[in-house]
Amino acid sequence: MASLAALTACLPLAAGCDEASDPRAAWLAGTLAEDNLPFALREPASVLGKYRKMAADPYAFFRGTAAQFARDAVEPGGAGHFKTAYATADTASVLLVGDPHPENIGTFRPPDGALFVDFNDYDAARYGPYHLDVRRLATGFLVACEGLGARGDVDRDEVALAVGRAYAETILALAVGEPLPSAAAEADAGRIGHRLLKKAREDGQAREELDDYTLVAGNGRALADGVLEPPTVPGVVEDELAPVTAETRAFVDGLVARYQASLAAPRPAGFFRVKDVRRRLGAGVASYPLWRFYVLVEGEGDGPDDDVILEVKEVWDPLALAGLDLPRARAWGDNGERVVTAQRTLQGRADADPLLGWATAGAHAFRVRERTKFQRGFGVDELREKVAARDWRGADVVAFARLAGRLLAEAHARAPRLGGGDAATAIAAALHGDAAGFARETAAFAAVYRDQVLADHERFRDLLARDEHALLP
Amino acid sequence: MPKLLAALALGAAALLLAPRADAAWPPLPWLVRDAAAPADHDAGLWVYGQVAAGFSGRFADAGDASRFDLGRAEVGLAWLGDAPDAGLVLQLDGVRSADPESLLGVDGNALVLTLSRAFGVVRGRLGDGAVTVTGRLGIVPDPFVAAAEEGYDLRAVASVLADSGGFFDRADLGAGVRVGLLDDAVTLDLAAMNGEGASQLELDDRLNVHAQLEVVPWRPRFLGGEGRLALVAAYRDGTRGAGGARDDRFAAAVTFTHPRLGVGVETALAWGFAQRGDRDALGVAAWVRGEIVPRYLGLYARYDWEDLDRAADDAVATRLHVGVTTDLPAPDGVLGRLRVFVGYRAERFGGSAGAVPGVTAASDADVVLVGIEAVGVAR
Repeated sequence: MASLAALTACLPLAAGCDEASDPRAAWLAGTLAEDNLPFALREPASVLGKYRKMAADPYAFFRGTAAQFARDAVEPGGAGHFKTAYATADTASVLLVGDPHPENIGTFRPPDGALFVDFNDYDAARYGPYHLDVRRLATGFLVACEGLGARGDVDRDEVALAVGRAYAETILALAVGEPLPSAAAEADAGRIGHRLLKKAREDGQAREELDDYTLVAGNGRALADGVLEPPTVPGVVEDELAPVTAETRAFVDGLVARYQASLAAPRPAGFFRVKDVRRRLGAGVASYPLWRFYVLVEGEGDGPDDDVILEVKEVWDPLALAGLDLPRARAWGDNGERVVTAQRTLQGRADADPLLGWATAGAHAFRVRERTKFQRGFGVDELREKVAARDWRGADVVAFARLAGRLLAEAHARAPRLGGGDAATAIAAALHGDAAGFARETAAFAAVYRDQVLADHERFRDLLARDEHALLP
Repeated sequence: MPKLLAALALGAAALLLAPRADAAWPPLPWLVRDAAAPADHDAGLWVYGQVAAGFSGRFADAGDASRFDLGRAEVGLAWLGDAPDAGLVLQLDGVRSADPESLLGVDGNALVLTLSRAFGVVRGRLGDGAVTVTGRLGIVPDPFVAAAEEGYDLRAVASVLADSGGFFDRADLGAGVRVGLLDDAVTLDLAAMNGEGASQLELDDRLNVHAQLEVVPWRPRFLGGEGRLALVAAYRDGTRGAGGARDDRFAAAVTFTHPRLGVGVETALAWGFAQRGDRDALGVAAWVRGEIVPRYLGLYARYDWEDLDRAADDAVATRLHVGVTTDLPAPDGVLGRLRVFVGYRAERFGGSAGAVPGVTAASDADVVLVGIEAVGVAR
C-alpha cells in the first residue's frame, strides 16, 4: 500500500507531513486543534494568542494542556497511562478539583475576614480517580521548578515527594477522624503561603482592583478602557479591558440579573445595579479564548468607593476522561452550576467568596465571582524571582508543595463520592497506610510526565514556528 | 441482585407474552448498504427505519446503575430509479446532543436528528450486464461497516466491531466506486473519504483511501430462505486530525447469513488509533444468531476481544453478549418486524485497558438489558 500512502501524501494543502514522522507531534496538533475548535471558529485570534502564550513558557504550556494530560492519563497508549497500586473502583468516583497546580492556588477572604489559602480554579472539577488530581499537582510543581534553572537550592525530588506524602498523610488522618488544623489556616501556610496572604491583605484592603481597573470621573466610577499592561509576549494580550457593544451589554446585564438566584446568601436590592461592563482580555492560559467580562456594580451604597467588580467568566465542559463509565456522571444541570457547587463543596469555607454564583444564557454557562485583590493567586514567575534572589529557599518550596498536597486531600475529603460514600475512607483504604509508597509512586509519575511536558513544549514550539495557523480550522 | 432478578423476570415475561409472528423475515438491510437497487427490488420511493430502545441494569464495583436507552433510531428515505439506474438516499439518526459526561448539549441533552447519510448513486452495466459499476457521492456509508453489517441483524444489541470498537466511522463525506463481477459474486470497492467521520468537522486536509474486496461464493437455499457466505477484506490508508496522525486499517470478515441463522467472524487491525499514530490496536469479534423456534425464540451470542494498545502488556478488553429474542409481526404493507430481546453483557478489562490502569474493577461490569427493536421498510 505504499502507493496509496504516496497518493494521499500528495493531497495535503496544509502543514502536517512532518508531524506524521513524529506521532506525538501529530497527536498534540490534532488534540489541541480539536479542543480549541469552538473558540477557533468563534475568534481565531484568541486561540492564536493562547498558542503563543503556551509556546512562550513550559509552565504556560503545561497549563494549556490539561486536556492532553487527562487523555494521557486514562487512554491506553497514553504517555501517562501508568498503573497505580493505590486505587480501587471506589476511588474512581471522587469529586476532583480537576486541574490542581501551583498557579491555581490562591487566597480567599470570607465575610468574617479570616484570610485563607486554597485552590481557586474549579473549571475542570468533575468526578474521577483521585490520584489523577495528585499526579497533576505534583507534575505542576516539577514543571514550575524546571523554570528555576540552576538557581536556588530546590530539591525537585523532595518537592514532588512532599505533594504525595502530605496528601496521603492527610487523607489517612482524616479517614480516622483525627483532628487536623486546616492546611488553609494562616498559621500553617509556610513562607510562600504567608507571602500570598500578606499581599492579599495589603492589596485587598487598599481595594487595589478599583485602582487597576476603574476610573473616577465626576461623581461616578467607570471601568477603564484599553491596554492596562503591555504585552510581554508578542501577539499575546497581557491585561486589557475592551468596550462592549450594546448587545453584549444587554447580554451581560441579563446574566447578572439571573446569577443572583444562585448566590448562597442574597444581597440587598440595588447591590447588583450594573454601572459598567467591559470585556477582559488576556487572562488565563487554558481559558484565554473564553469570554470574560468585568462588571462594575453598585455594591452596598450609592457612592463610588464601595463599588464592586464582578468577573463573569464563561465555563465549558470539564476534562473528558474517556473510558471512565461512571453512573450518573451528569450530576449538574450546567457547567456554571458544576463549577460553583464544586468550589463551594471542595473549598475550606463554603462562603470563601460570598459573591460566587453562576448564570446561563442558552448553551453558554458562566461563573461569577468577585474580582477582589483579597483573592490573590500564586505565580510561578514570583517563585522564580524569589528563589533567584534567595528570598525563598528549597525548604520553602517543599513546604508549599506540602501545603498544596494537604489542601488537595482536604478538598477530596469534603465531598461524598459520586453515588454516596465517604471519599477519605475510600482513598485511605486504597492507600493501605503506605503514605511513603504513594509519595514515591506520585513523584515517579511526576518526573516522567514533567519530561513529557518539556518535550511536548519543544514539539509545540516547532509546530507553531512552521505554521501557527496549522492548528486552526 | 434484586435488580438483576427483576430485569430477568421482566424479560421472561416479555418473551412469554409475545404473540406469534407469522410472516417470514427476509434479510432486510439491502437499502442500508447501497441504494443501487438490486434487480429484485422495485424502483420507487422507499422509507426504512430502525429503532431500538431498552432498559439496562449495570452492575459494577464502580457503582450500580439502571437506565433507559435509545440505542439506535434511524429513519431513511431512498428514491430508486430504473431509467436511469440511479438513486438518492437520505437518512436521519437520532443521537444524544452531548457526550455522556458533557453538559454542553442542546436543551440539556436532548435527542437531536443528524443527517447521517446523504448520497446519490448511479449504476451502469457493461457487456451483457455481468459487470456493474456503481458510483456514490455524498455522506456515504463506510464500505467495510456496511459489508460487515449485511445479514448481521444484531445491531440493536451491539453494532459490528468495526463501528463499536472505534475502528471505522459509520459514514463520512466522500465518494466511492464499486465494481461488481459475476452477478456481484465478486465486488471491489474503492472510496476516498475525508476521514473524520460524518459528524466531525474536517481538520485533516488529506483524504482517506479505502480499498475492499468482497467475494460471495455460495448462496444456498434452505429452510425457506437464501443463505449467503461472504468474505470481505479491506485496507484503509488514512490520517486523522489536524496533525495528520496515522489512521490506517486492515479489516476482514467472514460471515454466513440466512434469515434464520447467521454466524460471523470479524477482525480489525489499526495502525494509529484515537489520533495516536504510534498506537496499534487489534480487535476480533465472533457472533452467532439463530432462530431455535422460528419467530418464537431466537438466541444470539457475540464475543469481542480487543487489544487496545498492542505495545502494552495487558491492554485487552473483552465483551461477551448473550441473549434471547422473540419477534412480533410487522403491520401490513411493511416489510419488517418487532423484536423483543433480553440479554446479558459481561465487560472485562485487562490491567492496562481501562481508564484507571491497574484497577480492573474500576471498569469491569455486568449488564442486563431488556429491549425492543422495530425495523421495517415500506414503499
